[in-house]
Amino acid sequence: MKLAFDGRLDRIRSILMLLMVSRREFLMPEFTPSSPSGGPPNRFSTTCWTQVVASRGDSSLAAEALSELCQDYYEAIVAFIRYSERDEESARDLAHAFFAHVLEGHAFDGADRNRGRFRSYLLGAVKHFLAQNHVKSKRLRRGGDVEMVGLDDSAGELPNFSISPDDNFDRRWASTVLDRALDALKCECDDNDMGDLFQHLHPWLTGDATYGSQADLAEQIQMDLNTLKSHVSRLRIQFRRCVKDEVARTLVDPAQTEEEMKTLLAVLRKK
Amino acid sequence: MKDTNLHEPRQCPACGETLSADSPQGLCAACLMAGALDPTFKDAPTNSDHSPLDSPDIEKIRSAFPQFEVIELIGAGGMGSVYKARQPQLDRFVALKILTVADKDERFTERFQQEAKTLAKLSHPNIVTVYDYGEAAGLYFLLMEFVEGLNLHQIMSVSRLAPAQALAIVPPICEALQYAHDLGIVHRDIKPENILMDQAGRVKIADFGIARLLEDARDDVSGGSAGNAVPGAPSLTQEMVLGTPNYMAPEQGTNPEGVDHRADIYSLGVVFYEMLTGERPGSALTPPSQRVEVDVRLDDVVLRALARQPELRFQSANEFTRTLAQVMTDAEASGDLGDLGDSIETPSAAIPSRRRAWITSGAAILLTIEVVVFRGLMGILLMALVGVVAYAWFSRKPIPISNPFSKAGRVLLSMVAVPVVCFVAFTLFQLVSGNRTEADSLNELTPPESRRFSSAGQTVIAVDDGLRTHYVFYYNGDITSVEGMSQEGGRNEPEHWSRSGTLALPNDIRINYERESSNLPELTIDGRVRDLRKGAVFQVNADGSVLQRPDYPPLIREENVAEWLASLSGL
Repeated sequence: MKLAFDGRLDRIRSILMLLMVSRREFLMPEFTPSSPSGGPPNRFSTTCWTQVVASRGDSSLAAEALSELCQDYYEAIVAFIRYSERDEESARDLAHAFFAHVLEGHAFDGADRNRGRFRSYLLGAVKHFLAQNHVKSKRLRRGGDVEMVGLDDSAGELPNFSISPDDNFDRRWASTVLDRALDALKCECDDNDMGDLFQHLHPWLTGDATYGSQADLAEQIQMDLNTLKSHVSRLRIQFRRCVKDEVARTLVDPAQTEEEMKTLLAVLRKK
Repeated sequence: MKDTNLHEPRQCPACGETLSADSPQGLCAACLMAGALDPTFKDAPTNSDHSPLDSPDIEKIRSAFPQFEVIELIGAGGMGSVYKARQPQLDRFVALKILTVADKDERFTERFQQEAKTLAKLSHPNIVTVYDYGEAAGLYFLLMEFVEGLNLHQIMSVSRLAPAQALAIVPPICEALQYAHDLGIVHRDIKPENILMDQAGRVKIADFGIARLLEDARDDVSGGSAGNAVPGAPSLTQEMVLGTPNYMAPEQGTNPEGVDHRADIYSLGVVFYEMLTGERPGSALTPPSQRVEVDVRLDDVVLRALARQPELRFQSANEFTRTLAQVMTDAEASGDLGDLGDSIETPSAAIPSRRRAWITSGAAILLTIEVVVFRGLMGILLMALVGVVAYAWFSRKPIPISNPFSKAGRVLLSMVAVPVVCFVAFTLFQLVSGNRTEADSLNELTPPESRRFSSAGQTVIAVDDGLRTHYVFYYNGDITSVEGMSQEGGRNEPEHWSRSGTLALPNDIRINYERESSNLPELTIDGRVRDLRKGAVFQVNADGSVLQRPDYPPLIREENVAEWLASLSGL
């Protein structure tokens, strides 16, 4: 039997190996995280937290809107779950399960929808989910004190244990906000045939005189220095608007946008 | 600029922080956010009627205050902008508050000096100290103690406070308020943003009396010296009122002249309510205990502070804190501290921690005793009941006088022998039935009891090697994880769990997955074919139900293992 089996065996093996290439795509088929580097523009979803709150979870639309929002902030959730999981992939698996839960529409049962911030709300929901999950599967026993040694180096990013999971969640959240704002800004620039200029200028969004001399760049791209400066400052105004738009999406009361931005800044600055 | 600049530096050239892998497009997230918040790049002035006046440019501040090293803008609001600065002579950090004043005139200057002098007199550990005040280059400023930490608003937006934390924050605020009220100073703008927590966890109230100061400025503008007002210029206080009406006492809107220290008590009531429930009170004032799990006795305190009429509120901050202390003492005495919050670093002002620990451990001991005694008693009672029934059965006939020992024999038989036989029979039955269950389950594999097995289309290959069941999770044709469950005691206990490794099946057949963990020997099924007893493929259907796929028949015997494994390649 063994002989007869060997040929088939090789086939199985090769097919199985082929199937095992990239993971992220298949892990999250319904929830593909928006890729920062020019992915399809699902990043311009206009779903707002207010819509979810207004629908009070009654309709399937609410679940859809909710999962769309969750999808946008996928990385923050994975980062949070990562603290309780052994490696990146299991965190993604669990995040995946969480989204499935959200899509089913009962992940947010019992949570108070009046809460103004989607950020706090989502974190609460994830915590609740993890707690339930922990009780159910006694996850801690898995592996226990066994040290995991990866075969390759891509064991995934280790969580930053110097900050709390909550802070890390907020940090990742802030990064996502900024990432999405940058993407939106880039698209706007592309639409106005200023994509190249965006590429050159966007480092200055972090502040003045941080990424080399503007005069050098002006010379390099043959642009008047003053024109370049005015472009930079216009870009910063546009960026500010993009960030505010993105943050406002996650709030019930848009008047809290700046406060929320300040909170995120405080978390980013926290040592 | 060279493109390489974008990606090479692993440190932010602006703030020097190391950039993490998730930095948005390789840029420093903190600096980007700071850039987006930079008031110099406010939105286009379309909405200027209601936006706070722009904070002065930091360069302008630097040139106006050469004696300080102005570091950065740390806050901007309706009342002004606050900069972090260093005072080199004293080698200390200070907070430099630049008041946003729409209309500066002599009257304002005079009033500002008066008020600032009063504020500078406030010296309390829970009040942010005012070091200096004045006017420089047309800017009215207050130089204040720099508090390294977060404000309550930031803290609450990150996580809900435990009731015990909320209870710990209120007394120092009351103390500070009482101190200021005794000096005739009303804060008028108590809100979470003005309650700072330093790194040692101390509470400090900021911006004392500044609302009043600016309100007076507004009065000046709208009143006698209206001639100085710039037509159409937004009044600051209007802005401020628009900004934080939720914390204002009702009389601050209806009768600003009659506002006294009890307005602060109302505002503190709102803050307290928000700390307990996570939300501000709505128009219909729902008691906190109906929103979240807090002691109902706290409702009275909160609702009294929130009374619409000042006369019905606590008449002083001291009364507030006294009542609160009383409630906590009552709760402590009645032992239901749990409702007041779990012990999260309860500060000295709250419940003494030693006593709390005593109560907790006492409760735990009682619980253990209860479980042991109760279970033991139940067993004894059950056996005794069996004995009594048996005795009743043996005693159907009267005891013959000729045989007096028969009574003792019956007692012995019914009270001891029968219960023992029952016990043994029961135990045997359990063992036998348990065995039978296991034997039955040989023909059946159960799907994994994992939450991760819940999405439509997900597939699991279940393989039993006789010791445990290994689940290989598939999703869209790729292995996502592998779990091993032992079936001991009829329960699925996760034994190993890994995203990756080598699942070795008999006949040297291996299902390789991404990474291998050498420390999980149970992952390697090193057996022969006969050890592989079961195999099945389960799938989650669109409706969420889990079914065994009929096109992959259960694997039971050596004969069909090859066929079965070959069919797996179609997954």
